[in-house]
Amino acid sequence: MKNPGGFLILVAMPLIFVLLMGLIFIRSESDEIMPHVKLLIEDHDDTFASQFISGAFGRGELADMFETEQVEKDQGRPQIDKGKASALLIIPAGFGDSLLHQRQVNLTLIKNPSEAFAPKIAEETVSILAEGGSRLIRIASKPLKTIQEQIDGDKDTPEILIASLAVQIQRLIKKSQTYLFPPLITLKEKSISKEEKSASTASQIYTVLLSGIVLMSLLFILEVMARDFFVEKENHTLYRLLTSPAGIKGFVLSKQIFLFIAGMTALCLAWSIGILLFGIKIQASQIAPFLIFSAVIIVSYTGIIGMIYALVRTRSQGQAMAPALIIIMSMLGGSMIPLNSLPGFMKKIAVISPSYWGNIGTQKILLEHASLAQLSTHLLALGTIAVTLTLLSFWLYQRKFRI
Amino acid sequence: MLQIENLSRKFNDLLAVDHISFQVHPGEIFGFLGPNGAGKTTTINCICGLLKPDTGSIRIDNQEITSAGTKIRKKLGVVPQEVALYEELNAIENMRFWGGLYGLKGKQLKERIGTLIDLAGLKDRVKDKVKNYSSGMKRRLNMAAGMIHQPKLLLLDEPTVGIDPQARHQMLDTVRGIAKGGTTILYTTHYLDEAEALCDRLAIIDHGRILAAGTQEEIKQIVGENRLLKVIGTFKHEVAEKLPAQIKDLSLISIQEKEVVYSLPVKYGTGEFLEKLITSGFEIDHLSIKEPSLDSVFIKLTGRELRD
Repeated sequence: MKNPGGFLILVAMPLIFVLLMGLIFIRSESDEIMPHVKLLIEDHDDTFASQFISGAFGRGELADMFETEQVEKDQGRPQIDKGKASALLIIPAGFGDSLLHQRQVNLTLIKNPSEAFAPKIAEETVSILAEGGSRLIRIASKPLKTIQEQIDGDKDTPEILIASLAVQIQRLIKKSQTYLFPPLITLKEKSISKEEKSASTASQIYTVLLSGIVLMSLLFILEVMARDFFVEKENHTLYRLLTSPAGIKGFVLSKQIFLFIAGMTALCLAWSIGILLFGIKIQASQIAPFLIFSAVIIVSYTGIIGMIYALVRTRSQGQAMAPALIIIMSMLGGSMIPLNSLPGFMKKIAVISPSYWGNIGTQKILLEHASLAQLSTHLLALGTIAVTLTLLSFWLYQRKFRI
Repeated sequence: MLQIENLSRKFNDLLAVDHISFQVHPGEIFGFLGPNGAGKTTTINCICGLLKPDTGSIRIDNQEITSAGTKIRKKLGVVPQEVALYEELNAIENMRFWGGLYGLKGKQLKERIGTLIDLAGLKDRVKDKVKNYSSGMKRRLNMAAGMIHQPKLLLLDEPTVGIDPQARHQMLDTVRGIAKGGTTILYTTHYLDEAEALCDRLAIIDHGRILAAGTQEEIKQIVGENRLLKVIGTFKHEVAEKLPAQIKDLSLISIQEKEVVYSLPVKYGTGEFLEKLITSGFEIDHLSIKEPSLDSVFIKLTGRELRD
């Protein structure tokens, strides 16, 4: 390699890029910046049901987001008009009674028009609570009816009935908790410390970022190196190379091998520094699949870059065409924007990009500990690209470099 | 060593090499003399396998080049017209790289590099990067690189283009040294003096066709013991065309608007010729007399000087 300094700079660029992106993403995650919503509640009902609704805003993560204030009748609206709160929730009189008799009941939410997001959050949250509450009441209609009868009646409730109702409700909750409540992630999160959770999240974010950015940078690195095809021609050394026993085939093959070695070196360097710099964790058992998969990616990339330079007539054409194609491939492959953030039509055509298969496969190996067998589709796609384009570029070079 | 039979090569409508045949014998320096665009480099490219001929055959050491492949390439050394070296490397690094391509290594390669660096006169500058060399030094190293594998046949494609007279003189000495070592050389040039100074035999090529081939003496016989008289000035064409009838053994070679070339045996003086010119109304701006030489052969064969 004539210029190792330049090569190292090319390898350093994606790391700097990942560092900056990581700082943006991980900072906002660890800082736990939550939107602040001031919600006024006018409770005209004042039963256990209305208190359940108003109390919900003071529990769990909602408590971090919502600041609630109970206001007297007709006191909420003036405050909203003055812009002192994001929204006003009015719980009508007879709310609890209507619920127990399964009659339709309306909650009223008055939003502050001068705020953009906070009233929207309040609206969404109230609608979720209303939805969840309605379902709970439908599921638990039988025990609730019994409770209602007991409330309406004058007699004392026998202890055995209370025990029976408690068991019924507990069973219902157990059966429906899969649908009503989120999966058991909460339990898992509780089992690790906040620092561990933060480190693990950061490692995952850096893995995702580095995977995409390194693949994009690899294409750029290989593109710079592939210019040698034309540099040899411009320096007239190609003439002498072609008249040597190596011939055209030897020349093209040696260049492709050089690109592969340079690509593997750049990839290993970038990931090694990434591991040290960003605390990325790779399981020892995943190193071999990762390297094999990466080798296949690089062979496909050398095929692509080789093909571009076999098609163009001059180095300047290559320098103009290759970066444009690399950016399109990287964009579709999720190197620049996460794949799930791409518009629908782009998601559909993303499969044509080798970066898509490379990026997804790398993430599966590193984050989901997938085996090579599980990535057979990815390997097949990349392998097809590698073989087809390498053979085609060989043929084109033979035509091109005949004087 | 090299036999070319009926070789031709076309580029679109241009017939760059037009059914040429010649032979280069072992150990000789064979000159391929012709102006730029005559077809010299196309012929060289066909010989080293970079161009596929449209017709004809090329045999090196009795082997057809199209079927022999790599074996032939090892017998062949090519010194391209342009300097083909890695400028960021020094002389030894360059030689090591090119030697490696021919399978040379270890002591053999080291010795070969030493010999060629001496031959190229670069012993004192071996560790300098090639980009810091003068054009003459680059040319000599370029030639040395083409000989790293001790080829049987060395193709030198205008190796002295763009270098100063002193460096050119050194280069010609180097070529003579190589030939003395037993290497057969095909030397293309458009410099008559180089061809005259170096070549045992030569071929004159123009517009893709070989006009004459043989030893220098054989070729000079084409003009015989005649000198060429070139007149530049103002004259009537019909008068110029009738002049050979008035002077014994004078013959017209070529005529253009303000230039006419005659051939006259050396046994006759030029006095009568000059007198006739003046009395015939020639207004002479310039008169040149060329003794029998390759240049006069070229003029006789093409009607123009080689540098035209």
